Amino acid sequence: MAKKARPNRIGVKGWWTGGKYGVEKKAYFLHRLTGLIIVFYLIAHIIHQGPWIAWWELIVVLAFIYHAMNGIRLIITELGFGVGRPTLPSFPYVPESLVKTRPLFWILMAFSAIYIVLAIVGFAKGG
Amino acid sequence: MKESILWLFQIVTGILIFVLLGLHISAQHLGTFGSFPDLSSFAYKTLLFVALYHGLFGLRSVLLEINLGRGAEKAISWLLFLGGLVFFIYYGIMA
Repeated sequence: MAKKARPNRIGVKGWWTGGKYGVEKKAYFLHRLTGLIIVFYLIAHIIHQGPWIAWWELIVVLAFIYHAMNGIRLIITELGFGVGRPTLPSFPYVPESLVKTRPLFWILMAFSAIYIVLAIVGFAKGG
Repeated sequence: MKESILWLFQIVTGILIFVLLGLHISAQHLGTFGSFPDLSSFAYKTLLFVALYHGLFGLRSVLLEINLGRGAEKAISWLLFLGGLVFFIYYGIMA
């Protein structure tokens, strides 16, 4: 077998375990997981547009809500809003940009929780 | 195409999906909370296009991160691009 150009020693396991990161690492893992759920549903949904098993549709809606809310945070952070000015690294090397954007993370997770409750209630009522 | 441009499209399509799919899901599943009109034909096709781009580019990012080698990465990129194109033409334009 040919040697890989860039070895990736941790592999897929690294989605959850790699590095000493905060809650954002878990958010990243969930973003990836929900993204994969949505993309496979999307392909199936385009091909077969009839009614789906309700609980499966609910899972996809919940995945979409989380993915959208976390995605908003990623876009805001990506564009450099709210990450603060660059500062000199000083002990104990707390990643300030993460600390400064963490309130945004929790606000969006709160919105995510509210929408998830609404979606579950909507489904329970037969929506 | 430059990766930075592809990534910019990923952000733009993400925002469009947030609006369009939000409306689509509200119309389909939140009927108990009020009446939500579903998407027009043009908006639906736009949603199909941006969702395919966003989803397949995301899938490509996940697959390329596994580091399968240059040849496999190129094959994956072309396969997803052509697959998405065929899907959009067949289900978005011809349907």
